[in-house]
Amino acid sequence: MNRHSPKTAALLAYDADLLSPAGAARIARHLAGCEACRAELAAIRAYETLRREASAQRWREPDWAAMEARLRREAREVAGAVRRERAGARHALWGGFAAAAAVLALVTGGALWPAEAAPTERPDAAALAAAREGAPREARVMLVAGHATADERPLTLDATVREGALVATFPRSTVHLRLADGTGFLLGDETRVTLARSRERATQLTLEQGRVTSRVAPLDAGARYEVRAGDWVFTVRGTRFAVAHLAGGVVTLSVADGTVDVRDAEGTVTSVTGPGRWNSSPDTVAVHPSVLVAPVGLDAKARDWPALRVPRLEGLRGLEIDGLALPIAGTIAMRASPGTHRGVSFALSGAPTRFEFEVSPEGSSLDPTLAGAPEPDAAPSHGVLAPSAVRAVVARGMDGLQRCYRTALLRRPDLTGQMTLRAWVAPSGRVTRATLSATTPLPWLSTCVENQARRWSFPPPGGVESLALDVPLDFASD
Amino acid sequence: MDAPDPLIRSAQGGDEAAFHALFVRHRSDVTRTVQRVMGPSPDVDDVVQDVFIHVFRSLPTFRGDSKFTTWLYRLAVNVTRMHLRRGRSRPQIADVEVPEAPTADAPSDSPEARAECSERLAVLYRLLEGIGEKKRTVLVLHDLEGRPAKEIGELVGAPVLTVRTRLFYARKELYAAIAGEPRLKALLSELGPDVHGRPALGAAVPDGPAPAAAAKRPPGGER
Repeated sequence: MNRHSPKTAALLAYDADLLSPAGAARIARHLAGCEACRAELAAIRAYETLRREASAQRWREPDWAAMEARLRREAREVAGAVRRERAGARHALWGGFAAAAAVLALVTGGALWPAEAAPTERPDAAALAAAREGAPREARVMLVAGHATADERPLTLDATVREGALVATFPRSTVHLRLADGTGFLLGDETRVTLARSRERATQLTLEQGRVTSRVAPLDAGARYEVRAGDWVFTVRGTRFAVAHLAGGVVTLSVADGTVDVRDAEGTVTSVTGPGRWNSSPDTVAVHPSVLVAPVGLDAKARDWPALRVPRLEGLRGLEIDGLALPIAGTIAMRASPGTHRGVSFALSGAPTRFEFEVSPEGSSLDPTLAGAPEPDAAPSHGVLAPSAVRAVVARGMDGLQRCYRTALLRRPDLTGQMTLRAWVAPSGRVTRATLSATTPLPWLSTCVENQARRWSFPPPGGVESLALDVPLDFASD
Repeated sequence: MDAPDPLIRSAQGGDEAAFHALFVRHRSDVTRTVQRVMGPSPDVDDVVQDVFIHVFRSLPTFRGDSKFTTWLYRLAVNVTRMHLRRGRSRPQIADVEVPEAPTADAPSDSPEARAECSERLAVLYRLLEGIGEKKRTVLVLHDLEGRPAKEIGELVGAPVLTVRTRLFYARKELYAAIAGEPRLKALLSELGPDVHGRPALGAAVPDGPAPAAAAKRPPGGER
C-alpha cells in the first residue's frame, strides 16, 4: 500500500503544465499507481474551482444607515476630545486610585471557578407571582454544559423547567432550552432568566442579568415571544436575536434577521430590523451580544435523539462538537443524532486535535482520551501563588492602570466607579487573559486596563491550568 | 511618501464630518476584507463597526508612516482576528449561513447549479475554519481577496517569506481537508486525474477525513 506524502509542489507544476515532457510523463506514471497523489491532485483542482467561485461571490451589504447612526456618536466623541485637547483644556487628572489585590480561592477538581459559586439574589415574590399568571408554560433542557439551576435545583438533560422558575447559569456554563412550539433559547454564562407566560398569549423571559439568544419559531396569530430586561420589553413573532443585560443596567440587543420591537417604560416602541443593534444607553458604545443561533437539531429534531455525555475534560482549553463550541468547566450533556460526529479539542497551548466519534441509538459518552485530554495522572492540579507575590505584582502594575484612568478622564472627567479585574495566570506566570467585571462608559478604558494587566508577570505558580485572580479596583478622582 | 490626505488631516483636527466621509469612502472595502477573513457570519456588521470605532479612536495618533489604506486594512484584519480569537474562548454555536452563489460570472446558471455552488462554498468556509487563524488569514487575503504577498506581509506584520510559508501550509491543509470531504465527492470525481485503467477518484474518497499529508518543507515561492 502506497502511503507516502504527496509532493504538492510537483503536482501543482504538473497540473499547470510547467514540467518537461519527460517530467510530466514521470508524474503521470506515478499517479497511475498512487491513490494518495491522485486524491491530492483532485483536491488541488477542486480548490481552484472553489477559489474562483468564492472570489466571485456576492456578499450581503451591511445596514449602512444603522451603522452610520452608531458611528456618528463615536465620531462626535472622538472629534470633541481632539478639539478639547487642542484647546489645551485641563481636567482634574488624578485623585485617588486605590486597588488591592485578592487571591481567588484555587479551583478544585480542575475547573477555573469553584462549582459552589452561587448566583446572587433570587427574584422578589411579586415578580414570581406575576410570572405565574396565565397558562402554564414549560421548557425542556436540550443541552447543559457546566452547571445551571432552576429555582436553585441543578438542571440536567431533559429536565423540565416550569413556568415561574428562575434559571441561573454559573460561570463558564451554558444551557439550551426548548419550548413546545419549537422556539429555542440559549443562556450564556452567569445569566438569570425567569420563564413566564402572560394573559396575552405571550411567552415571556425576564432577563435579570446575562445574555439570552433566541431563535423564535414562527408563531400563531396573536402569539408573541417577549424578553424583558430592565425597563425594556423586546417583542417578536419569529426571528433570531440576542439580548444582554449588562452590569450597570445597560441593555443591548443584536438582531440577526426579522424585526424586534423594543418597548420602553413609557410605552414608546422602536423597531430594530436585522441585521441591527440597539443600546439602552445611547451615550455609550456598549458591548453588544453576538447572535449565536443554535443549530436546527437543538431546536426541532433533537427531542428523540440519544443523549451524548461528555465528562469533565481536564487539561484542555476548549471543545467543539459539530461546530458547536462548548465550555468545558464541567460535564456536558446534550441530545445528538445517532451516527458519526466530528469534534475538535484545543490543548492549553491552543493546538487543535480533531477526532470523530460515534453516538449509538442508546446514547454514548465521549472518551476523553479521544479528545486528546491528558491522562488524569498527567494532569496535576493548579499551581499556587502567595498573596504577597500577587500584591507585589499588582502594585508594580498600578502605574499602567493609573495612566489608563488619567487618559480616560480626559474624555469623561466624571468617570468613577468600582469594578473587578479578573486575570488568568498561566503556569509560567504570564497573564494570558484579563477581563473587567463590568462595562465602562468608555470601552477604551476596559481595553486599556485589560492590556495593562496582560503585561503583568507573576512567579510561576506551576500546575497545568491557568490560575484565576480577582483584583478589585476603585476608580475615583478628586 | 504620498502627500497627507486632506480628509485625514481634517479628521485629525477634530472635524466630525471628515470621520463620516472616511467611513463612506472605505466602508465597502473594509467590509469585503472582514467578510473574507471571517467567512459567513452574523457578526460581520458588528466587526465592521468595531473596525471603524478603532479607526476613529486611533486616527488622531496616525502619523502617516505607512499608507492610510495599509494602516486601515491592517486594523481591519487585526480587529477581525481579535474577534475570531474571542470566539474561540467563549460559548458559541456556529451559525454558518450559506453564502450567495456568484451571479455576475454565471448569469445563465440554473437555480440548481447556483444552489450547488452555494453549498460548495458553505463547505469551503467550514473547512477554512479548521485551519489555524494565521494561515487562514493569509490564504483568504491572497487566494480569495487577490492581495499580493508583500501587501499581506504589511497587513499581518510578517515577512514576505513567512507569508508564503503560511500560504503553502494553509493550502496543503486545505487540500487534505478537501480530499477527505464527502460533500465535495462529486466535484472531486469530476476533477480527478484521468488515469488509464484506474477507478474514478471519487470512488476512492472515503466517507471520513483523509489522513492529512505531512508537508516537509514549503516550496520556494507562490503559485
